[in-house]
Formats: sequence, structure tokens, C-alpha cells
Amino acid sequence: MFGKDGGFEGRASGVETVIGPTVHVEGDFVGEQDVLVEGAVTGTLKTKGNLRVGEKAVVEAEVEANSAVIAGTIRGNITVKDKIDLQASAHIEGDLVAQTISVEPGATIRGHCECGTAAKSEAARDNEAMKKKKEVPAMA
Amino acid sequence: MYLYLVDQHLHPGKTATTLARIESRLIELGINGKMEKLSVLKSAKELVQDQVREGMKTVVAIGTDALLRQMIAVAAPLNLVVGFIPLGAPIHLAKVFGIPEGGDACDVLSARMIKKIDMGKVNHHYFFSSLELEHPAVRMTFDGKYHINIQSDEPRISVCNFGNIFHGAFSREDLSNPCDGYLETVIRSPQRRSFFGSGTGRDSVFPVRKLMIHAQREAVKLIADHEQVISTPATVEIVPQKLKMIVGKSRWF
Repeated sequence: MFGKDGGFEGRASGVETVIGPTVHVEGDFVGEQDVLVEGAVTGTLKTKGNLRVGEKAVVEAEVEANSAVIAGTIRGNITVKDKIDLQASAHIEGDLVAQTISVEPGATIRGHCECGTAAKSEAARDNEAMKKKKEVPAMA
Repeated sequence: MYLYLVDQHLHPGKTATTLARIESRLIELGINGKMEKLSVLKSAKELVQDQVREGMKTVVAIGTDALLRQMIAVAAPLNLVVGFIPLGAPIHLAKVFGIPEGGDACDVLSARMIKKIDMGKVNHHYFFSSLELEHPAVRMTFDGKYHINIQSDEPRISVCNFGNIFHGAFSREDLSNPCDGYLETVIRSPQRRSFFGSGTGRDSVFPVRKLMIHAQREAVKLIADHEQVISTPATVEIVPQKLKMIVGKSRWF
């Protein structure tokens, strides 16, 4: 998915986003595929794919992703559908919501954590809302 | 109805026999049409426009990558189907589109497997491979939602549809997917040199459908397909499935 030497690799399929170390993104970033952050992001960072935040990355944003591996700094709330993996160098200032949270020794969190039942309930509520939308009969 | 345009730069001595073989094969396959050799007096654009008025739907470039690039630029806005018979050099694009060299390409034409390929559009100009920015002191806004600041001296910025295929040899890994409905903005970091050795930061890649480019100081030049020069401000967007190209089974996408 990502080049071993950090260089750009053409891809025959998939449109992953890479925010390199010299780039600062400002605004509402919304993606469909995987995202790798090694630079800075300010605003909103949402993706339907997986998120990876590098050790030197700084994200000051509300974050949403399918799953996440965090090694850098995030200042903002994080909502992940599946698993969030906080590595030793991770620094989080905000609330975490995920199905599963894994924290390596050394990671720091200043905020609330919700995992398992709370995240399941939120996903179940989303599914219920989707089903109700489909059941509404079409207007004549 | 087919229009065959022969590259004016082909060496007559080396290619005459192959051209004759191509003409025979086209007749055998029943796909012969009007064949014209380009010259200073006969431009591709004029020839194509004349034949479109007479109902021509397919234009075939017989020659090198440069001629194919020219055909794509002329044919895509007119919604024509583009074919390619690689002859001469360089013909790196032949393998990308899965087309064998010389007379064997006629069989690919006859099979008429058409692939719809995205094109990029910058202001009113279409481009096929990529858009390069010279001295990019620019502000870029992606899909109207976010913009980026680049903290690097003299980064190299490309907006790729297919990748840098009109500038010498390339490998399969150099290509972007030309049928995914996205352009890819690539920001390449310059090589850093220090006492401990040189290294490169990771390149940044942003998939985008619409990109606005404004110069921060003086107007910046954008170079499309290594040929056309456009100035900022510029609106760059993907035009999905704009180009219809006859391709072979062994294509790279």
C-alpha cells in the first residue's frame, strides 16, 4: 500500500491518501480509503477506511475512521468503528470511542475512553436508523 | 469509418515495408479506411475535423508516442474512438495499452475492445497523463473542502491522471489508475542532505475530483502533458470516462 522508501508508487487500484511530513492540511478532510498522516492536520479528519498517524504527526481535529493506529499526537475527539491501537509514542488529548482500544505502555491519554458495549450500541443505533429509512414506503 | 494518420517523422526506408504490411492486413480484416500522412501542411486537427464532418468515428495513430498524445488531445473533445498502431520509436505506450508493435496491432484494432479512460481538464484544456507545476508558490483547495500548506523549499507538484507517461521510459509502478474517477495530486519532497547523509521525506498523495490552484505571488505556469502551458488561476477537475481507447488484453490497467 505505502512505498517502502517513502516514494510515490502508482496504484492500479485504491486511492489512498498520504499526508507527508512537509504538508499541513487545513479544513474538512473527508476520504473514502486509507489515510496515512505524517504531517499536520487541522480541522476535521474523516475516512471510511483505516487511519495511521505517524510518530511525528500532529492532528488537531475531530477524527473518524474505520480503524486507527496512532503513534503521534491527536488533539481532538476520536471515533473509530473497529479497533484503535495506541502505540508507545501516542499522545491523545480528547475522548476515544471504539469497539476495541489497545494501549501500549508509554502512550498518554487525557480524556474519556469508551469501548465495547458503548461503541456497539452506537453502531446498532446507526443500523436501526438505516433500516427504518429503507422501510418507509415511496410516495405515490 | 476509420481515419489512419501516419506519423510524419517515421523514417521512410525503415518503415515502408511495415506500412505496406499494415495496409494489407487492415484490408484483410475489413477495417481499412482513409490513410493520410501528416506534414507541415496537413495538421492532425484539420484532418480529423474534416473527416468528422463525413461521419468518421475512429481515428488511428500510426507512429510513436508523440503522435498518440497528439491524437488523444484532438479526438477526446470530439468523442471519437482512438486506436494506436505503434511504429518507430519511442513507443512506450504500446505496452501500457496492451498493443503489439507493427502489423500485429491491426488484430487488436479489429477486436475493438474499447476502454473508457478518465481525462483531466484544466480550465478549458484536456490533459491525459499529468499536469506539472513550475515553481509552485501556490494555494491549492481540494474539492472545496480543505487546502494544504507545503513547508518545503521547491517541492515538485504533479496532478496525475495516468502518471508521467509522456516523458521517457517508465514502469508499471509509476502509473496511476486512469479509470478510478480521481486525479492524484502528488507532492514530492526534495532530497534532504545533511552531515548524516541524504534522505527523502515521504511523498504526499491526495486523491481529488476538483482542485483550485491560485498563485500566492506572481502567476505560476502549469504544464499539461509536457506540452500545453496554462497560467494560474486554474480549476483542475477529473472528467470521468472521457476518452474511448481501443486496447489489448495485456494492458496495464
